[in-house]
Amino acid sequence: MATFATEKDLNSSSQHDVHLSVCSFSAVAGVEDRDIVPATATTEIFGNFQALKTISHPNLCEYVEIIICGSRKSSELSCVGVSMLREWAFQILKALAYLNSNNIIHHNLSPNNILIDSEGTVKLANYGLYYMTKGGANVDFPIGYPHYLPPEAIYHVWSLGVILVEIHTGLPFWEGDEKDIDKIFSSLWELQCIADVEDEQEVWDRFTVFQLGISEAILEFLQGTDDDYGDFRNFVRACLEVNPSDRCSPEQLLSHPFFSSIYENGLGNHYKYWWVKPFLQSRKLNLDDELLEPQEESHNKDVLEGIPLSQVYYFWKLAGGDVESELAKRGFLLSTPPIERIPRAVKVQNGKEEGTAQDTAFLYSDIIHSLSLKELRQRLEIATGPNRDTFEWDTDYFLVVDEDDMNFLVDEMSDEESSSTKDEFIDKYLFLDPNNKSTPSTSNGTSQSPTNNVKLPLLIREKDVGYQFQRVALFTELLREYPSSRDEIIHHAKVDIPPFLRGKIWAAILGVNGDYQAIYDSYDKENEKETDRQIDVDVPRCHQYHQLLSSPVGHGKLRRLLKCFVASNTKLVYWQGLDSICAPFLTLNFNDEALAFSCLQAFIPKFLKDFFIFDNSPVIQEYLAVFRHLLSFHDPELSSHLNRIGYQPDLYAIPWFLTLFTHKTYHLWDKILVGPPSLPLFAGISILRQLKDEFIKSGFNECIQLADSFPDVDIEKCIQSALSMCKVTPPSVIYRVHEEHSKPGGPSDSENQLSDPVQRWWEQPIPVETKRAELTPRISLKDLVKLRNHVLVIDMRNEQEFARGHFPLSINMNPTHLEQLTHTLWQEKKKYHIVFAAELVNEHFPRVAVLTGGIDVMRVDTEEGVVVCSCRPIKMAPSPGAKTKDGPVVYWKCTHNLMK
Amino acid sequence: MSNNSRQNGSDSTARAGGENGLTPSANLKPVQVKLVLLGEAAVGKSSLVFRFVNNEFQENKEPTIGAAFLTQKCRLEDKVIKFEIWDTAGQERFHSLAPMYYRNAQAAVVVYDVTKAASLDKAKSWVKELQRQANPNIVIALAGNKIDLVQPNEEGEDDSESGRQVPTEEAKAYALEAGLLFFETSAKKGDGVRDVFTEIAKKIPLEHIISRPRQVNNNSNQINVIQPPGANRNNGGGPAKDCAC
Repeated sequence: MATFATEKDLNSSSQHDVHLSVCSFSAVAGVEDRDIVPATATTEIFGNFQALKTISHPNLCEYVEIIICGSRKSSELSCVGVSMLREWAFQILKALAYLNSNNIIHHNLSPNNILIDSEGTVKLANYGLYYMTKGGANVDFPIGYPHYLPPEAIYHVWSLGVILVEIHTGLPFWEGDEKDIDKIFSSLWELQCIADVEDEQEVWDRFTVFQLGISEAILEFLQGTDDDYGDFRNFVRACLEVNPSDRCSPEQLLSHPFFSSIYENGLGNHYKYWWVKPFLQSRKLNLDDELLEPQEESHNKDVLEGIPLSQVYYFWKLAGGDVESELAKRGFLLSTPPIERIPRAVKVQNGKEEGTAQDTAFLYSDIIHSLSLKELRQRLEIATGPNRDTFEWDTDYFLVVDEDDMNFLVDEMSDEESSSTKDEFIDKYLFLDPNNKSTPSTSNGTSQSPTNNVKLPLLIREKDVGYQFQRVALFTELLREYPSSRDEIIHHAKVDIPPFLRGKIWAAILGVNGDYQAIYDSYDKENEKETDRQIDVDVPRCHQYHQLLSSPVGHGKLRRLLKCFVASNTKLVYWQGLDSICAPFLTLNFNDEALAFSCLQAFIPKFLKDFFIFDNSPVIQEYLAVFRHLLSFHDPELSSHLNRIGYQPDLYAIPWFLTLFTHKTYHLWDKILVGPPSLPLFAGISILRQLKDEFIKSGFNECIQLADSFPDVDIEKCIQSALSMCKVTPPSVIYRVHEEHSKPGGPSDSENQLSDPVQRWWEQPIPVETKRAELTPRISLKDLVKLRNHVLVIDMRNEQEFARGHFPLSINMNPTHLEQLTHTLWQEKKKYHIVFAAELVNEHFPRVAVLTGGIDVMRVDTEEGVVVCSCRPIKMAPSPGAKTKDGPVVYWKCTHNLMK
Repeated sequence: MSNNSRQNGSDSTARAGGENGLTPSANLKPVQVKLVLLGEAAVGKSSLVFRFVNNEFQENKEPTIGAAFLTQKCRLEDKVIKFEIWDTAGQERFHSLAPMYYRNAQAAVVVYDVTKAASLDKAKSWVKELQRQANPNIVIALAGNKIDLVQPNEEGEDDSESGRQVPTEEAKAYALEAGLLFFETSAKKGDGVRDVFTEIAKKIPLEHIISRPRQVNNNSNQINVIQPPGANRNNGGGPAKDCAC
C-alpha cells in the first residue's frame, strides 16, 4: 500500500489549502521462492520506492516519503483548444524526459494519472508504480491501461499521443467496450503487421487501419490535411509511430515544431527543473522564508503553508491520522484474502501476461481519497496560536549542576580555554534532564520554567504534534544556516532531536561539510576486493528487521557504503560490526549514500577510534579494561560480584562496543552524538547497573545470557545515569591511549604539543596488560588535587614511610586491617577514595582509584603544587575497638590542615 | 536415548518425551560440558545452536560479533548434560579471540557449508588449531550444514547433487582420518542437529569431568569461563523443559 498526498493548489506563494490523499495497491502476497535472500515483494517495493522521494519536477507529483502530491483531478479532459493541448503536451513531455533521465519508466500514463491544478499546471501521478514494483513483478495486477498501450507494450510517448487525440476529438481511441482487452490486443497485433508491410504510405495514411476498431473520427483526423491543426497532427502522428525504434523519445519530441510558439514566447525557461536532488530539507523552504516566522497579525494564514508535503504528512500522522483506518472507513482497504485475489484468468498476448479487469479491480485503484486535515489544523493552530505554550529555547536548562558535586566536564573546559565561560562549557557536554528540572537545586533560580512539553518523557514529546511542529521549524531554520549554526544545533539537540529531521541533524552534529558527494564518488565501490566475501555474507544479515535494509536496494546501498569505507580508510579494515554501525546512517539517509558515508567517516574516529584497524585487540582490550575500571569506580558491589564469578567484559561487551548499541533505538545515539567520546562506556555501565539486581543474584551462565539477550533497558534513564557518571569521573580514570586526543585527557596531557611530548615517567601510559589486571582505575595527581575536598586518601605503606611524607589529610592503615576499618572509612563520607597500593572495591567503596606513581609523584611533580606533608600523624582507633592477634587495630591520620 | 537422538523431525515429540523422562530424575546434578562452535562466517553456526536450543530457525540472523553464549540441557541415559555453548564469530579477524572460548572446552563443533568448498578448508584449519592448542581430550565434531540447499539431481545419473560443493564422502573421509565425529545438518529444517550434540555427549568422558574439580581462575589476564564449583548449583537445576533431548 502506498500513500500519497495531494496538494490542491500548487502555486506555493498562494497556497492556502493543503490536502492529503491516499491511493492504494496491493503487492504480491507471500513470496518465498528465494532461500538465501527472502525478500518479499513488499520489502522490494519499499526499497525501490525510496528513490522516488528524490524525484522532483514541476510537472510531476512529488513522492515524499511514500507520498506523492497531486492536485485537482481532471477526469473530464474534454475538447480543449490546441493551445492548451500544446501546453499540456509540452509539460507532460518535460516530465517524461525528466523521468527518463532518472531511469524511471512511467508505463502508467492515462488521463487518470494526469492531474491539472488550478493554475493549469500538469502534474503526473502514479508514475512510480512500475518502477517501484520491479516492472510490475511485485504486484498481481498489470500496470498500465491496455487502452493506451502501443503495439510493443512500452508505454510512454504512444500513450501521450492517444490521450491528446482523444481529448482533441472527445472520442475514445478504441471503439467498443474498453474492457475488451482481447480485442485491443489483437488490433495492436494487426497494426504491427500492417506497419511491417513495406509501403510508400505511412501507416496512418493507409486504408487498412480502418479495420482495427480505432475510432473513425480519430483516424480521419490523423489522415486530415487541413492546415489548422497541421503541427498538432504531425505531433500526434509522431507520438503514434508504430515502430518503437522510429518513435521519438520525449526529449526529441520537445523540439518538435508543435512547440515552437512556446520557445518563441520564452516560456520554455519557465519550465526549468527545480532541483535535481534535495540537499537539505531547508532548501525547499527558501521560497517561503518568512512564512515560518510566527506573525501575530496574520493568524488566519494556514499553519501548513509553505511546509513540505512530507512534513505535512508526518504531522498529520502525529495528529492521529492513520491511512489504513481512513481507507477501511471508506471500505477501500484491501482486505480480501490472498486466495480470493488469485487472478481468475490470464491472457497471454505478445508475451505479456494480463489479468482480467475484474481481477485487478481489487488490487489497484487509481481513485484518490482525500484525507481530512481538519484535526491537524486545529491542533497546530492551538500549538502556534496566541495561547500557545511558550517554549523558551534559550533557557538555562543545561544548568543542572549539583553544586556539591564535582564536575570534571566543567573543569576540563576551564583548563582548556580560560576565555570560555562556564555556561559555554555546560553547553558543550551537559544535558537537560527534563524530568529532573525541579529536583536539583539549580544555582540559577531565575531561569524560566520551561513548558510542560519539556517535562514530558521523550516518547510523549515525540508524539506531540504541537511540540514536534515547533522543533521541526526550529531545526529547519538552523539547518538552513548550517554550518555556521552548528553549535546552536548541538545546543538544541541536547534536549531532543525531532525524528523527522534526525538524519540531517546528525550530519550537522558530526560536522559533515563540503562536497561530500564528490568525495564519495571518488572512491571505488564496484571493483572486487578481498573483503567483499565477508561484506557479501554480512549485508543480507544486517538489521534485517528494518524494512529498508531488508530490501534489495538497501542491500546494494549498504554494500557500497562498506566498500567505500574500506577503500577510503587505508588503515582500517572491515570488521563485522561495522555493518551495524553503518545501518542507522543509511536508514536515515537512504537516498543520500554520500551523506550516510560522510556521517560514518566522522563518527568512527570520534567514538570508535582504531576499533577497525587490522590488529584491534590492544585497542579493544584497553577499552574493555577501562570499562571494567569504570564499573568498579561507580558500582563496586556489582563489579566485585561480576569479577568473582568470572564474568569479564571480554565475554559480553565486545558486541556492545563494536556495534555501539545500534540495535537499540536511535535515541541512544541522539545523546551519544552530542556527548563526549567516553559516553558509550558509561552507557554500557548504566545498562549493567539497570540490571544490577538480576546480576547480583545470578551466576555466570545467567549473567551472560542476561547480557546477550540485551533485555529491555530504559534508554532515557540509561543516558541520564551515564551522563551523571561521566560528569563525576576524573579524566585520568577514563583515559585511553587509543582515543581521539583533541583535548587534555589525562596523564599524557599534551599542553606543549609543539615539541615532541616529553613524557615524564609517571605520565607514561599504563600498559594494557597492567590495566587489564587491575580492577580499579588509576588517577593522576592532577585530578587528585582537583578532588581535594571530596577525597579520602588512604595510604597503605608502613607507618614509618607514612610519617616521612604523605598526602595532606590522608589516612595510613595496614591493608590487612581493611575489614575492621571499613566502618570507620565509611564514616568519613567522602565521595572519592584514593589509595596508594591496594583497593577497596571488594568492600564496595565507590569511586576508588589508585594514584598513578604513588607518593613519589607528589615529590617530583611540583606543577600541581602539592606539598608532601611530613607532620606527625595522629594515632586513631576505630570507634568500636577491634583487635587482631597482633594487637588492637589502629590507623594513622594526618591532621595537618587542622593544626594550622 | 537412541530414540531421542533420532527424532530430529518431530520436535514436539522429542521435547515432550524429554520432559516426561526427566521428571523423576530432575534432581540429577547436570554435568556441565563446555562446547565451542567454530567455522567460517555465514556457514550457520548460530543457526545450528539456535535450532538446538530453541528448536526454531531464524531467517537472516544478525552476524555474531565476538561470541554468543547459550546453554541447553541434554539427557543421556541416566545423566543430564548441560551444554554451555560458545558460539563464536566467523569472521577471520575475530580469530584472535577464539582461544578465549575454546580454552578448557570439552567439545567443539566445527561447522562448514556443504555448498561452499572453501568453508571446509577453513574448518580443517580450525580442527588443526584445536588439536594443537585446545584441551587434549577435546571431542571435535565436524558438521556440514545447509544440506537443505542441496537438491538431489533429477537426472539421477550419478550421485551428484546440484548446489553441493563438498561431497559427503570427501568430508567423511577427512573426519575419519582426523578422528572427528561427522554429521551433515540442516539448521533450517532441523535435520541432524540434535545428533551432533547427543553423539558428542556420548563420546565425552563424563566420569572424568564429574570427578575433576572445576577450576576457578580469577586472573583477569586470562579469561576463564568455568564457574566456581558452587556458583551454578543453585541455578543449574532449571526447569526440565530446558532439556533438548
